[in-house]
Amino acid sequence: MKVEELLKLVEAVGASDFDEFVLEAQDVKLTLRRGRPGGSLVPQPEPAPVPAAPVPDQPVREPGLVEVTAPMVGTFYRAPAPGAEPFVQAGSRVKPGDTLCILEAMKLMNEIEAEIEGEVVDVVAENGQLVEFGQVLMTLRPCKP
Amino acid sequence: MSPQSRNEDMERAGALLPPGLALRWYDRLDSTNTLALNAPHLPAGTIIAADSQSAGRGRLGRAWHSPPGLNLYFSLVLCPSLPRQHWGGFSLAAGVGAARGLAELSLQPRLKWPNDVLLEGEKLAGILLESGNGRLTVGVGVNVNQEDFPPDLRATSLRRATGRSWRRDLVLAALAGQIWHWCRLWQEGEFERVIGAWRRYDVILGRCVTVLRGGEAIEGVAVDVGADGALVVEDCDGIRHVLHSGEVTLKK
Repeated sequence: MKVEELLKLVEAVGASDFDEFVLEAQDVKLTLRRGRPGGSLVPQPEPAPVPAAPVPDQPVREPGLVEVTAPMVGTFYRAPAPGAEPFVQAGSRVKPGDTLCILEAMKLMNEIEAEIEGEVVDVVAENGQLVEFGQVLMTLRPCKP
Repeated sequence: MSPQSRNEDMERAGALLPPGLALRWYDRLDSTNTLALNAPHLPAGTIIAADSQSAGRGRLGRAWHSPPGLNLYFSLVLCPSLPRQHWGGFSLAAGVGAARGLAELSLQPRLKWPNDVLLEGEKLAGILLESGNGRLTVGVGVNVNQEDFPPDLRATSLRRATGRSWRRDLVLAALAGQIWHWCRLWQEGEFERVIGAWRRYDVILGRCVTVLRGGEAIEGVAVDVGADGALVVEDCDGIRHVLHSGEVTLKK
């Protein structure tokens, strides 16, 4: 997909009412979400100065999910070696200390560990992808105490 | 060779180490890094070393061939208090330490980003850092007395480069001491000093390189190493790529 086409898409989604937009094509996976703390992909318009009526919760976002973010810039790996089983996938149960993924920076393989007990809802980052500091890698649903 | 005689040169290795470092020597481990990351209660400065490894590894799960009686395989435990986004720099600090240690032994090592240790253009030592459990381990494999390598590895050993055999305890003391020293400087925030020292051993800046990262290959000139240790490569369109990971090949 060409960069121009991507930019047009981003613009079109930005102008629409969608909260979330996912495109999966042969060579690209694009996820756009609106109003996500720390990780918005769409430039946010200035907040309207007029206090609006209480806005209902966004239907696509489940409340209470915990985001696992990148503690450093690096390359994201889901498995300890190419071809090996991924550490976790959607539905995996994890407890504190369990390895979720690896971030490589300068030939340092950083194990990213779960800090809570819960279930993996979604692995957002792609294997082999370069991720920025603070970027969301996956979401967890904490288990109820 | 009996197990006793093949380890003779390591019997008093712990006593040669500088203050702050303590050696735990094993005849055989799956991987020194695995033990260094997972054994409970290992203070910073612990060195896990083994005569041989059954599952020694390099980057991305690649095997590091670890036969007994010949080489050094060790992992140095660190417990950094720096924010984690700075931990990648320990990789370059460890490279500087290894190079300094070899220079103490009157050798002329060079570094290929981030920390491959070369002697006369061939790989002498590999360093792989891993973190987990709030700990960081610097895993080092040094080819000491091994004479034969598969030709496609482009590897060498101290013995091949100098024509004589080496005592592994002396090599360990020199390298571990310097790696410990330079990693502590990084921990203390002396980033410029560490990167400056790294540049003096560098073999790639100003040269044409190919960097493999994930599925993509970036070709260009290695122009700089940033304060955080990232490699900057300028491609033929003048675009600068800041690389935090990847495998560098020098173009002839």
